[in-house]
Parts: sequence; C-alpha cells; structure tokens
Amino acid sequence: MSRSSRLSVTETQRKSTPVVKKAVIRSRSYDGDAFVNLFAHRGARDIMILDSHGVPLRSTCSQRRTFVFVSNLKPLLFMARNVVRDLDPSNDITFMRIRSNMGEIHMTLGTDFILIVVQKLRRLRSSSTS
Amino acid sequence: MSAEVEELLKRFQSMKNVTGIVVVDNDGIPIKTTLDYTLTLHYAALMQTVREKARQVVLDLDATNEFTFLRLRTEQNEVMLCPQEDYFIMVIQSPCD
Repeated sequence: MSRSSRLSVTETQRKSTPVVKKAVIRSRSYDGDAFVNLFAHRGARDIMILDSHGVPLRSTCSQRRTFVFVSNLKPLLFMARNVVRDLDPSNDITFMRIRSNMGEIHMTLGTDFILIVVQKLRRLRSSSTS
Repeated sequence: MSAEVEELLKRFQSMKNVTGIVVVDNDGIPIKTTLDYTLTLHYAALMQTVREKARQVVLDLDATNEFTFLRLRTEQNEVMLCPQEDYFIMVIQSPCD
C-alpha cells in the first residue's frame, strides 16, 4: 500500500523551489502529520525513518535520495555504535549529529527505529562549532 | 597553533560538565590529553576511524560539502569531535538534561 503509493507519486524538485514557511500540500499518506509539520517548521529538509536493521520505512524525500542517504549513513551509524560498545560495553549510543558546511544530519537510534533528519543551515557560519 | 590549542584546552577544561579533552593528530597519536593513558589511546584509535568515516560520508553525499563537527550522544557521556587541518579535538562531557 505505502510502497505503491510512494512509487506512483511524482515529486517536485525541492532544490529549485525556495524555502516556503507554509506547509506545502502534497498527496502523501503522511501529509498533515504533526511530526512532519513540526520538523518542517524548524528547518528540516528531509526526514527518514528506518527500522532497527537499517531498512528505510518512510521518508519525506524521493526514493533515490532516500537510498543515497541510507546507503551512506547506515555504515557510519553501525560503526559509531560499535565504537561506543567497544569503549564501554554497558554504554549505548542514543543520538548522533554530523555538522558540515551546508547542513546537519541528525540521527536518533531507538530500540525499534532509526530516525534521520537532514537539516539545512540558514546561512554559512564559518566560525560556529556546536 | 600551539598557543591557540592551549587556550582552547584551558577554556574547555574550565567548563562544568567536561570530563576529558584529547587532541589527536592525523596519524592517530594523542598529543594532549586530560584522561589517563590507556583510555586516551582507546578513544583516539576508535574515534579516528569514526572521523574518517564521517568525512567520507559527508563527501559522498555532496562533493562541495565539508565535515566540520560530530556530536555523539551516548547514555553515559557525550563525545564531541571537531576536526582541524592537522589534528582533531575531542571533548568528552557528561550530558546535562
């Protein structure tokens, strides 16, 4: 159901359109979700939900872009988890944030899901480290 | 270079939640540390691999992008990693929620 509806929807290019503060009406099954609206209001560009093994379940961007992000971020997530386990076996990773020049990638690891939020910076700040 | 790093270390060390600061060069050798030696080596070796992987991931996603900061939140502490040109600074703090 959700897979076929995701495949049939054609997505407009988000890079060319400017950032609109109002919520854009899209024919998706999760339109009107408070979760997506909240993140969109706070500057999130893409939201992806994976299961605990790294298989993408839901996403707000296109399938190709989801695949690119997941195929790059999944090895990093599991490597970071192994690193934290190696340092202290009783410890476990809960959140991870990668900041780059143009944007940030937030990754939340729960027991049942992995949440990835790709966020764009408002303006370039060369001196900021957070 | 060295004076700036010393100033940064003093400023970070005076913060309340910071439990450890490690400066590692590009070969994975710790230069300055406030932790004990074995824990420093362990952190330096493992975070070196995470840093390289994160840099590759950011470059693969967008070639014009550049990896500037990594924050790794775990249950017991929080590791922040800031790569520079010749070294990277790692700050370990206890999370205050």
